[in-house]
Amino acid sequence: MNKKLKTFLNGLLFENPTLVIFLGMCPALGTTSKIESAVYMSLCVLAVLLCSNIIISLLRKIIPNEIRIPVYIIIIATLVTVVDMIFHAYLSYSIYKELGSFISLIVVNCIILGRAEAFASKEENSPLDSIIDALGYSCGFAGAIIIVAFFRELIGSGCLSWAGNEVRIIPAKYTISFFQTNAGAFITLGLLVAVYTYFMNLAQAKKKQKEAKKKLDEKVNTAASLKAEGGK
Amino acid sequence: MKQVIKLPLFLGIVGGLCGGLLALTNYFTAPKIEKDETLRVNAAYLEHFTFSNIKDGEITDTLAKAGVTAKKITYDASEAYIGTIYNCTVAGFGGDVKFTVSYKDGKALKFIVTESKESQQGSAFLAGLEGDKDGSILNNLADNKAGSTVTYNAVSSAMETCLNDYLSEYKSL
Repeated sequence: MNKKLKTFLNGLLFENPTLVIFLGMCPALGTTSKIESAVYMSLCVLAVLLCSNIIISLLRKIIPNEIRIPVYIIIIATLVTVVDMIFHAYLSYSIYKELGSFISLIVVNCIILGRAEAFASKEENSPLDSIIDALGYSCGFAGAIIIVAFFRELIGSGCLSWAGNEVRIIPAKYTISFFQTNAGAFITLGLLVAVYTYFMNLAQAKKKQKEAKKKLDEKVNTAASLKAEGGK
Repeated sequence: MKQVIKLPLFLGIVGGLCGGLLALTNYFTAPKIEKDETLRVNAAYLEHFTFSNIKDGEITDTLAKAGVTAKKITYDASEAYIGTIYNCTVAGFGGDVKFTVSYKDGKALKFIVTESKESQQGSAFLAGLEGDKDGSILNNLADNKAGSTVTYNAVSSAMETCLNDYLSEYKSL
């Protein structure tokens, strides 16, 4: 598989930060009561991760190894503050209030520092590779929290809302408001992880079966061709 | 270059550049943030009372210490006194909490949050104080304080100070 595609799919599927590595749990539980909050949180993380990966990748050859972590933290904290100020100025106040202190918590989100240390800072990874890695991981994070938010909002309130517009899907008397609570968030995320792990294991088992069959076919073909040559 | 000079110098340069970026972003966003906040505060005043005239009251040292940033005395069309609104900024758990609280007929009338980045518990506590409480805000303060003690202490202290200030002037207004 092409290296860049593999890098992207790593973050999106095989090493999904929320569903596989269990990073970014705080925003995954705290900002998923509504789809709108989850989308804006994902945009925050995307902006910070993309910019931090680009900057750190560009500076990777000149950052002294002894102070690399403090340098990463300064860069990440600056980017988070910049994103916070921009959201505060240009986003609707109700959404900004909903995201609240979770934007500032992106500084300690292990996805950001983790990718900086594990990928962007490596000499063999170019800035383009770092961009693709950032896109993969942020899409993986976004996908996970948006799906959690979808189910929490749907089952918890019966409605799906965006920018003040609401569409009722489930009548109010059939909703389970428990899913709007923190405990409900835990359970929703846990169920999503279980379903995701099941399908990933299924896909891996099928892949292994396919590879085993391919090897067996190769052996049979080799044996057949040797037999044919021996006959001659 | 010696490590003892190179490392702090590099950190200083990175810190300086990041500081510059923050200053630049602040330059562009601060006026918009301030303008939006002023609009929210003005809208909050109209939610408290329907008034024809509004005047600035004096902010004493006691009020300033409690976090009061503005005191507004409201009047109707015939210049009769309606009530007093206080703007407060207190330190909550998640950061500054800015709110307006109005007093009328000897009691706290309404509480409106204009800016807050509180945690879930803090936000729930503040939300519990908002809306028409028919003068029972101070009685309800302690009801929802579980999990938001820091915010409760800050808000209740400011509101008690405002109430004392209001009561000392109320009968003469």
